[in-house]
Amino acid sequence: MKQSKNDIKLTKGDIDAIKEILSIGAANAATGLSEMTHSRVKINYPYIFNYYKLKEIPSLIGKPQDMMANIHMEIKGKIGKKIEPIGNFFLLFKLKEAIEFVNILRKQNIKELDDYGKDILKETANTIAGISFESISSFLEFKILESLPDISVDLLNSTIDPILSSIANEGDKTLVFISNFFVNDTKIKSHFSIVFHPRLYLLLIKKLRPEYKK
Amino acid sequence: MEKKFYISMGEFKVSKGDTILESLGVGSCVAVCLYDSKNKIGGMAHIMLPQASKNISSNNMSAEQILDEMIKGLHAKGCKNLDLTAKIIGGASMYEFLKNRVGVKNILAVKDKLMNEKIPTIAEDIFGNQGRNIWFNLNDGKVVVAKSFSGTIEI
Repeated sequence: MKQSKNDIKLTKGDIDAIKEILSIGAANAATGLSEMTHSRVKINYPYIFNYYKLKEIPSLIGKPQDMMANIHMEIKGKIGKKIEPIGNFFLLFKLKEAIEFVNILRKQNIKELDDYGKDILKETANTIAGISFESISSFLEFKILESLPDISVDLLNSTIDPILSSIANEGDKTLVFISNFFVNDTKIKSHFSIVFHPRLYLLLIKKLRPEYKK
Repeated sequence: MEKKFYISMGEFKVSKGDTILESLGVGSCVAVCLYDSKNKIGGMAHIMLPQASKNISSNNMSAEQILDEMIKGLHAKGCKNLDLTAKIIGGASMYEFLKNRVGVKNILAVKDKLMNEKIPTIAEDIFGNQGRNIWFNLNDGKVVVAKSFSGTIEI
């Protein structure tokens, strides 16, 4: 039987190697977050990194109807002369905790998330994405470009489904990385999550197994 | 006792009588509720993909494929297309900058398919920019839609 490109799967060893790179990115992001907030930021182990069916992805974070503030950025790679999608970055907070987080930065006590609060969350995502992608970028040896951060404050599933729909054409499973940050001990939990584009694993395989040619 | 089934992304369920079919956190996806009021048989599909994928590694069902399967399931329970009516919910735009317009595409794909099947749409709550929780009661065909920021309606 002819083997398609998509039949070649990453081994457990490959996954561990990539997980290590992503963990460095997440740790750097936590440091960045700590500097921004002047608060203690703890990372929760273990990280999640594996193949998941698209429909399973929201349940890795919470219940479908949880009210969340979800900041999304599209990630693209500059591979040679081409710019290709490689994934989607999310920074997710439960809405209540997003408000607490904004209050730490604003040194105020707002009760509802206003536009200024949303801008703060977007800027936070922008900053930590930039820091954390450095390790991934140097591993993959191409430049990573991020879109402007965009925010959706709504039910967990509804903030993720447009992104999952956009990759549903490429495969029914994809690589997902999730790490949790706890700001100010355990008061505020934030999910740092990357849902990779299913096409990315071809790039990863080429990188990890130089003998594999297209 | 009512049975309750949760329909997650890309799935559907057909059932009869004392049943609630539920989809939670529907954003740009579309929930399609088909109902035969004579026999109290209905089905809910949670559609995430407007067009069929050309990629062999994707088994995700498109709007057309999933509705085909659901209609087959309804036929197997003795319904005819003539007796079916549709309610469509969802298709929101959840992000300001996201250009894929998947919500709109999902709605258009669903409407195309329903037109081809000659199933009339008798109610809809579509588009907008908020998520929805949806409950479809097969006893009376009523659909309760709870929107994140503008209350609950019954269609």
